[in-house]
Parts: sequence; structure tokens; C-alpha cells
Amino acid sequence: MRARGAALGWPAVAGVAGALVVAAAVPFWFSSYWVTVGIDVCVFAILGVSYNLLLGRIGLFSLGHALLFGIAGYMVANLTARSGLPLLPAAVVAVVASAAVAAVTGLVAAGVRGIYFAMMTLAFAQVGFVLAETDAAGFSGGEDGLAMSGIPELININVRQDALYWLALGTLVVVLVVVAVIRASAAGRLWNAVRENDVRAAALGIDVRRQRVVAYSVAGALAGVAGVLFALSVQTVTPSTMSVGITVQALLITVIGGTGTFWGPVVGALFVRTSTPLLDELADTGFVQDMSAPLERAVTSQPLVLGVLYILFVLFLPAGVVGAAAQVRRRFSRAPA
Amino acid sequence: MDGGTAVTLFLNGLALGAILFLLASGLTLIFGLLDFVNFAHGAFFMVGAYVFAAIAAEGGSIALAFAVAIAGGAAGGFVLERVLLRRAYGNELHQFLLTLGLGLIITEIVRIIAGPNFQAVRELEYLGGNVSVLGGSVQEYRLFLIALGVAVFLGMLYVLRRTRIGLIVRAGVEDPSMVEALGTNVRRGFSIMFAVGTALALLAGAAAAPYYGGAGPALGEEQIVLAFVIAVVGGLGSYLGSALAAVSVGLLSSYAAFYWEPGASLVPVLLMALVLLLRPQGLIPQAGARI
Repeated sequence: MRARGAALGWPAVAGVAGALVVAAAVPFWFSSYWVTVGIDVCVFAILGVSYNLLLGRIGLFSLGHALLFGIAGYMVANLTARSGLPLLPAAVVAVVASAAVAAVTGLVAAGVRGIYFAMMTLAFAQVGFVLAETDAAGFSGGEDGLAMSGIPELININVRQDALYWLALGTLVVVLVVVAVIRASAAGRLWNAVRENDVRAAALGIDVRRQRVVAYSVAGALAGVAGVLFALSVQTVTPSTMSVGITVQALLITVIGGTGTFWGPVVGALFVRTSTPLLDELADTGFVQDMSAPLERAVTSQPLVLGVLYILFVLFLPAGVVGAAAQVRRRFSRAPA
Repeated sequence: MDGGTAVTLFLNGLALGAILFLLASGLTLIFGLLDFVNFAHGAFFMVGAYVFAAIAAEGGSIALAFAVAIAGGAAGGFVLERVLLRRAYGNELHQFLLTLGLGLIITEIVRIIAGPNFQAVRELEYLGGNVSVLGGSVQEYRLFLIALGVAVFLGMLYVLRRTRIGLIVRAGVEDPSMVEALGTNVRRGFSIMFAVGTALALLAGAAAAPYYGGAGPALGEEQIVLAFVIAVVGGLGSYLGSALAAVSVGLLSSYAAFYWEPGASLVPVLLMALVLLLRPQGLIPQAGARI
């Protein structure tokens, strides 16, 4: 299953094509509010894909993903607002910057394993967060953040939302194709070997450390793509883009969707990022408004609902939505034989 | 900086170090002895701060607040270990994920009950004044914090090294199946250690509430990173190491903040990055630590 490509056979191809058509048609069916939610889902799906590349592909548990997300955001805001660079080159430089930061920090952190790698990446991310919050390095505008400029009318979310949505969706598709290519490539198989048993992989002659740095850099570039899109959609980059909260979102999306699965991050992002607007809708229903105030807060609170779901997933569905679906499918396809 | 300022900064740094030690010692015990990554530790700390704020608001004494924090923490930690957390032994990622979810839930419940705003605690009736020491000036409560940190450090060291429960736990970490085979209930020892670690987290939060001036729901998220920094710098699982790391971070932060405000936040993470680079096993590594 893992070694083969993402989409197999006509039913799968038709399913993917159908889902893509439905996703692309969202702006025709939904209000502009839900289109902005759609943009957010695409941005965080890309971040989840990037995180899944580390946790699910090569088996690196990072707690510093927010750094790679935030660097690109601050970079693109700085280049457009302060250096007056047009958006496209600024975005490219920002993504390269995220990849470069990932390469350098990855080179340092790849020497340690397991929880130590998580702590190391957390340390780097917190340095970035503190620098952003205090504006100690002069790149962030402190707690107020840094406003983007030079966003073309077409993709200005305050003017119209559909074009930015299609841009985000198209980028997500490109990112998924890139990951599918990596999965099928020799590098993808090397990473599987490193994830399953790094000592054996090293004994087989794989330069484990180098593969980890490469994977971390690729994930950095993808997180940077998500960071640039996020900056475009919120238009002001604040220190919270580098906070542990962003890393936790990436982790939630990956785990709920299904660690190591191809579609997991997309499903996870859909689930996690639509939960807040859906719970807001729930709060407006008569059923919930009849409840006592604390209970009303409890059933409509995203952290509480997600926290509970999350624990249930870890206990009863550790493979995530997509992983569990694949298990069910395999059980049924095996049964008649 | 004159001599008096240096003394003031030194004592303030030690007081911060004491809080950080109380915070990190519970985490270190749980990680070192049970190999368990507890990301809900910051949320426990936050609950402790609220316990203090609630009891102080009713006019209760410091001692009462500490006692309630310790008792509540011990009971909560024991139950959580039994019901939820022991399911994740042996799987670091699951431990992290479970406790992360638990932290989210606890924080949100506190936010629903107590509201999203920071709750200031009133001026302390006892220990609220300042005393002068060697030309410097320091709040009495901060001297009390230093004493409390030292007392907990020595007390825990005694329990671990000299008592039967400490012996069972240390042996259980080395080889749980052998200790079970010899007729000792290791799992109960683990539950007890979890209760102790959680009680320490709530005590740390209660002790820190007057230091930080109150309690807020964001306290847990702020402190968990710091707690892990201390634990990693000292050497994950090393009890002596966490004490040394807490005092170092407290003192360095105190002096750094005097010269450059952001320094206080940067010192811990820079120190952690440096230690992981040069000495990834930590300042005083736990025997048999796997890097």
C-alpha cells in the first residue's frame, strides 16, 4: 500500500477528480465567509502535509514546525512592505528562506533522536517566537505584527475571496503532487527505511543524518508555502504564527487525519479547521442556547471538543480517519478470498 | 551594577529558580522514573495558581492553599494515571498526544469556570514586606520561596534514596518485570509517583501565584516550555540536574533581564539549544539516558 502511488485504478482517479471538482466549486455554493474558511483549510492542509512528511514519512517528531511557517510569513511581509518587492519574487524568497532555516536547524538537530529532536526544534522555534514578540531583531514589528503590502486586487481577501481560494487549492494540489512524487521516488523509500529502523538503515549504508536534513528542508519549504499563503489571507503577520499553538495544530491535523497516510492531512485540516466555524454555528442553534451558560461554553469550545476528540483518537483510532478507513477497506477486500 | 543591585538580582534569580525547580522536578520525576513525556504538566501548574488565587480571595492562608494544591494534585494525578495515562506507557508519541489533549481540556475547563482574564492576588498579609540583605532589597516571600525549593529538593532526595517507595520506584525503572516477579506491585508505585509529580506541579503553581501576581489560563502554555527547558538542560530524568538547571536559568534570566528586557525570555531557550548542541545528555545526565 505504502510503496505504491497515491491514486490507483479508475475508481480512485474518478474519486479524486470528483472531490477536486467539488472543492473547486465551493465559491459558487457557499457564502464568502465559508470561502475564507476554505482558504484556511487549504493553508493548514499544506502545513499538515509538510508535518506529515516528517512524522509520517521519515519518523521525525518535531515541535518546532511553527518556526518554518512563521519565517516565510515574516519574510514575505518584510519584503513586500519594507523592501517594496513585488509579491511573487518575495514569496519565492520567503519559501527559500524557510527551507534554508530548516536546513541549518535540521543539520544541528538531526544529531539527536526522539524526544531530544522534539526539544531541540522547540528550542529553535521559541527563539524565533521570542525574537518576533519582542522585535529584538527588528524584523517583526513586535506584538502588533507586520502588515503585508502590494497584494494584487485579484487575491485581496477584503475585495474578493474566490481567487485566493483557488490559488490556495491549486497550491495544495501542487504540494500533494510533489509529495506523491517523493513517495514513489528512491528518497521516499530510503525515508521509510529510516522511519522503520534507523539503526538498520544506517547499517545498510544509508546516511541517516543526511536524509533527515533533506526531509526537514523539504518540509521547511512546504511549511513556508503554507506560511506565505497564510500571510496573504490574514494580511498581518503576528508572533502567534511562530507559537507552539501552530505546531500543535499541525500535529492535531496529522494525527486526526492519519499519520503517514497520503490524504490524512487534507482530511485532518478539513476536520480541525472547520471545527471553530461549525461550533460557532452550533452556538446559534436554539438547542444550545437553551443550555446553562457554562455548558453552552463547553459544547461550543474548540479546544475542549478537539481535546476530547483527540484523546479518543489516540486511544481508539491511533491510525487516524484515513488510516482506519484503509484498514476497514483491506479487511473487507480480504474477506471474500 | 552596584553591589546592592547584584544581591537583589541574585536573590530574585534564586526565587525564580526555586519556582522553576518545583515546576520541573515533577516533570523530571515522571520522565526519569516512568519514561513518560507529560505535556499536561503546565496545565497542572496553572491549576495550582488558581487554587492559590481562589483560597487567597476567601482570606485563606498560604499554608492552606499549599495543602489544598498538594492534596488535589496528588489525587488528580493518581486518578489520571489509573484511568488514562498508563495506557500510553512505552510510546512517547502517544504520551505526548494524550497529555497534550489533556492539557487543552484542563486549560479550557479553567477558562470556562474562572473566565479568560488574569486574576490578580491581593497583597500578602504575611511575607509581603521587603527585607534588606547585604545592601540589596528583596521581598520576604521570595526568601520563603528559596527555602521552600531547598526543602522540597532535600525531601524528595530523601524519599528517592532512603525510603522503601523510592527503592521500589528506582528498581521498577531499571527492570519492572523483575521487580514484579519478586512480588512487588510496581504499577502501584508508578501511580504513586505520578501523584507525587502532579502534586509538585500544583504546589509549584500555588507557590508561583504571588510571585507572578496572580493566575491566568495562559500560564500553563507559558510554563510547559520552560519546564521542559529545565528538564532538558539538567538532563532528562535527572533530579539533581533539574535543580542545577533551574537555579542556573533563574539566575541567568534575572541578570539578563536587568541589562536587556527580552533577555529573560531568550536565556532559557538559548541555554537549551546550547546544552543540546554541546552536551545533549544534559548537565548531570541520568544514568543510562538514551540520546
